[in-house]
Amino acid sequence: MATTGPFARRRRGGIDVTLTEPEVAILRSVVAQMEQVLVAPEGNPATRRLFPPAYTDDDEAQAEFARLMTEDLTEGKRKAVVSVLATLERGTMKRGAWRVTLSAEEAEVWLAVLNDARLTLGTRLDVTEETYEKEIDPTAPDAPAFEIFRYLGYIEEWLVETLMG
Amino acid sequence: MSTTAPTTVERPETEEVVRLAKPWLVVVWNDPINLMSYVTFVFQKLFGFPREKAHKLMLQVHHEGRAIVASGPREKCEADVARLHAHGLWATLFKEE
Repeated sequence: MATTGPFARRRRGGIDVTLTEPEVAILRSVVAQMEQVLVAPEGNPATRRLFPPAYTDDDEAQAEFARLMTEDLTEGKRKAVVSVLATLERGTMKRGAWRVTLSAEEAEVWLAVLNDARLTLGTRLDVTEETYEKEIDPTAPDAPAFEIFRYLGYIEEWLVETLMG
Repeated sequence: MSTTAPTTVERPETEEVVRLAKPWLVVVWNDPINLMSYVTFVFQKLFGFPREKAHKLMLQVHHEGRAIVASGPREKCEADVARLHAHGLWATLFKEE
């Protein structure tokens, strides 16, 4: 099947990314927002989904888990965001499209960041299973955010399929 | 390393060993945001499951609301939960009754 998506696996390893300029602008903005959010994630309702409790019925164990893990978890997510911002800078316009080649490792970092961004935005938008069946009302104030949420789902799905393929 | 073969071996308290090894379980919960394909991918990546097993577990999470994806000593399970959190999955651990 000759479907062309935004990602293509290279024969010698790595992933070719091909995007339009507006897509790159969206990704830059979304990833930069993640960078902001991860500066002080504690108590931010938008990021609570990124730091779920490990223990649901033992407050003491949960406090200890958070004490041991949250800093590394946050730091890992910050580094991932910085890495994606760097690869977004590396891309160039060629033959009418924005292009960059990611190493396999960078592609997995992209996936992690896209997923974090989608989780954060989806939590903010109170996404439920029903959300996917509804049309986006273009006059609603949060329509642009829903469009971005939908776009992130589209591009993430492509990236997962490419990495698994 | 000793080269002297022991003539008698004190048997370990097998039952005690088994009781101490009673595993903790790592649970992944359904959530309305993570993509099904992504969850399958993470199961393959983190636990080295073959695609089919990862896919089955993902479907179990999706249809039953949760699935046990790993078990073992508490520290190992905590590390697994942390890795799942790093990948955006909603995971918890608990001790098997």
